[in-house]
Amino acid sequence: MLILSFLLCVAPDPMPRHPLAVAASEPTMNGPRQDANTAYADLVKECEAAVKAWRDELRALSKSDKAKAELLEKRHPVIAFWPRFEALSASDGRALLWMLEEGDKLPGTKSQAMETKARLVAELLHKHANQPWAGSDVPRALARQRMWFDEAWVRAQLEALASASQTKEVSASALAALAGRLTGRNATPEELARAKAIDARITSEFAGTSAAKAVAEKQAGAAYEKGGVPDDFEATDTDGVKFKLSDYRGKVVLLDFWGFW
Amino acid sequence: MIPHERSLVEKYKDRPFAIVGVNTDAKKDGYAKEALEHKVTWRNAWTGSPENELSRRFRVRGYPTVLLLDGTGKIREKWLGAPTPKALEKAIEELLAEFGESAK
Repeated sequence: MLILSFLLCVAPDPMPRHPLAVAASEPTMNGPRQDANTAYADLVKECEAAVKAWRDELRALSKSDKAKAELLEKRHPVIAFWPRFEALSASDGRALLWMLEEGDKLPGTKSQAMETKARLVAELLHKHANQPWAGSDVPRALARQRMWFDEAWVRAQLEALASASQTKEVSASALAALAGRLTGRNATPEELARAKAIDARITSEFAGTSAAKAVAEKQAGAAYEKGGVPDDFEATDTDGVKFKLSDYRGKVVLLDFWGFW
Repeated sequence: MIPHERSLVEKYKDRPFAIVGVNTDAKKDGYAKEALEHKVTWRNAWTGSPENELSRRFRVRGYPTVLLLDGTGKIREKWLGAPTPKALEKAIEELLAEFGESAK
């Protein structure tokens, strides 16, 4: 493989197209691009493996040598990986997502960690609001930081992401995430009304996005749940006679989905 | 569910009330035999399968799923699994009472 690539590199351009040359030229052309795409995932994987090894070692040491364990505990692998993610963030903003998640493992006080995280969120919003992953990954990363950020601040960031992005898909996803946070178990009537208004905005302003499709599906489904008015349907009964649900308007109807089986 | 439904049909025969079943059995002759035996006299839509279009539309996630619709066609209750006869009758009575009020 190496030799082939080498031959291809030095071969003068008007070279007869040999089947082998075609086969060999493809990986060399796709190679670097694939690297850029997988560099982030690879680094995350590498760090995860390091954390696992560190944990195992820590567990073993905590039984045999407490002093050594204490020293090791202060050397969380995230500290060593941090500069590499920082460097990667220049070319792949998703590195910032990892930093946001792991930033509390750096040495320092809680308020320093908080500051770091807030700075990373700001950077994500300012520099990467147009990335295709921003719509799903930024809201998800924020949701995982509930120990660090209060709800009002997170909601404000989602709103900021929606307005910062020039990409409809991202804006709509950010708004959908915001609406989702407004419709929790303990949502107030004001929050529910706001979520409804956001859904309406997603439908009108961001038609065609996956968030708009999700809203449409949710609304279509609501007609078939408690409080909804289902569309009329026509069915054939067990005697072969056609009827409609609307034949029963004006009556209380017990609609029973069942079977003897 | 069936014996109770039978009693509901009897109990509310002079009221604006109806049972509409959506049967999901696969074999019609099997159904006919059982329906006769269990005296299923109320109307049932024939779908032929638990995975039918109507069940999908009504987001039926398991059987039985029981819905109670008021006179305007609005879903007022939706139970996954049979409700207790007491709960079902209470809900029906409430809707019938509402009905009476609006008719006045």
